Amino acid sequence: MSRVVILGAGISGHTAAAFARKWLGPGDTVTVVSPDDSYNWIPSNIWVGVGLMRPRQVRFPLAPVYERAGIDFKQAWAREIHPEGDSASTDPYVTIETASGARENVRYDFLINATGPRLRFDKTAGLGPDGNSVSVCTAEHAVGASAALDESVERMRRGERQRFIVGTGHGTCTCEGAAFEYIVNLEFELRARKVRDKADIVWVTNEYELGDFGMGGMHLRRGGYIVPSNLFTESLFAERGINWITRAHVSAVEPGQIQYETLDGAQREQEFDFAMLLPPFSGVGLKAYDRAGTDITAKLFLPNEFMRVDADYEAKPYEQWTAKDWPRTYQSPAYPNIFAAGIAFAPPHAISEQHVSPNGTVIAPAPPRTGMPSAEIGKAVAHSVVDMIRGAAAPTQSASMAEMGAACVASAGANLFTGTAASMTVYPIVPDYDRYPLYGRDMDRTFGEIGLAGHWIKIALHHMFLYKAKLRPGWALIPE
Amino acid sequence: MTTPNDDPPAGTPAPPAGARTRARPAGSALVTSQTAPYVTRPTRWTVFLRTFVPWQLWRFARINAKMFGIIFRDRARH
Repeated sequence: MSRVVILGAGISGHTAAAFARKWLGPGDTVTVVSPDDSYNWIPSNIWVGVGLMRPRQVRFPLAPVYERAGIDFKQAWAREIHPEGDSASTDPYVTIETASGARENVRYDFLINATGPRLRFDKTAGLGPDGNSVSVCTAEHAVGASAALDESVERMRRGERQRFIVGTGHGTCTCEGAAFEYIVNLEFELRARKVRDKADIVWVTNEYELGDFGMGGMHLRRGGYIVPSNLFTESLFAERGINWITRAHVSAVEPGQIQYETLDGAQREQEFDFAMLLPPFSGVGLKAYDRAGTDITAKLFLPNEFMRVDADYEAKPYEQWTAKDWPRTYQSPAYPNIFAAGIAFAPPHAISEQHVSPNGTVIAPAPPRTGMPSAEIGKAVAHSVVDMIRGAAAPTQSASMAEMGAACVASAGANLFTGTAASMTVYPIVPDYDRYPLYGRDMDRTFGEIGLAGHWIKIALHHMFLYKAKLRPGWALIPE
Repeated sequence: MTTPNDDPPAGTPAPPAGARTRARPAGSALVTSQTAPYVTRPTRWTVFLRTFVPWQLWRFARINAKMFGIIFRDRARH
């Protein structure tokens, strides 16, 4: 009998748990530890944030789903990893803590760390729902964003002009794509509510150019040319009257005003009535201890609290970054029965070129690893773990983001006949300049377009992925 | 030669007469459609096609085919 413990029930952890349970025998156990009692289909939070969906449409309780699937569920925070056990036993375990403060040691044979990120609103003064801006990172945050939007709309209906700022709340944020979806949905919704003429909308981003999205941008074939993605993002913003600020590190969010630094080192400010700004991420702060109780956190995690895996973490200049730096199996180099999946693994470096202001402020997007790649990694890791339980000496599966494509649909307005979305495929996610010297990507499999069809696909994906996450009949046939 | 369908759609903010520079207002990092007249804009025909249902039904099939191509190529690799 083997015990597989998975920390986190987000896209990656939930996928890993579901496949591990499906592939393992009845004598083996799969245990999920998550502080949340619900699964949240995060990509649809943006629709909650503009009032088009309710939280119950993007969340569902995990316990009944796991009970039906035969997965043990513990609602708790993972606090410590003891990969060598303790003085009483060499059995490795994880110490978890419930909301009531009760602690429990959960023994494992294989551990998958899929805890996702910690939302670091604390990195920027005044950032976040407890400060002066709103967020759509969780369904609850998105409800707050929707309420703030309703208040602004009411003011506009009374004749007031409102200034909206959407984007990244720190120079090292990732997930620019989610903020992009929010700003274009916000603009669409203001038009639908017939108050667009009273709104000034500003995009503030740490990207060097629009359309970077933390992936170093992409190139697309269009009209007989191969053109960079900033052309399309700029075009969409100009078409919709959205203004933008690039290369910006938001240093403070004060009531009604953001302070930000640009790459030239200048300190600037921008007033707002409504601000939806994403926070930077870090790992969740797990600690690790050896058998003697010595802190070995640095052996398992980088200083940013993301887990070390089979990547090349040697610091090198941008010109020397290669696709081979990226992890393939997500196995911990220190302990072969520990893996990290999804946002929890430490990327070897960014994908976009890094820039630093004359003041030493890093203003560059962190690499995205959400959605499809997260699920693909979770599935590959689960497969490797199952194979190792069955006798394989090493991980059997690979899911390098430098060898993996991604399909992404970014909503640009939700309506069955007038809505649009940007549909994109990119291959590979991390550019590989050895295989594709000119653009780093396969131009036959990298494309993008905006249209109503994309919105239909986005709606279909919402229902399809929630169906899959609920582990309803045939769920495993639905791709990640 | 410019045809009516090459014009930006109605409602598109137009750059002010004489604005043909990337220069931003002093002290501001804000780019607006007025300070960015170089930005590519869609033609009316392009905007029309984005929500023209028969065309979008075709694009729906085409985009799905491309996305499934990516997905199943990845699956085959595992």
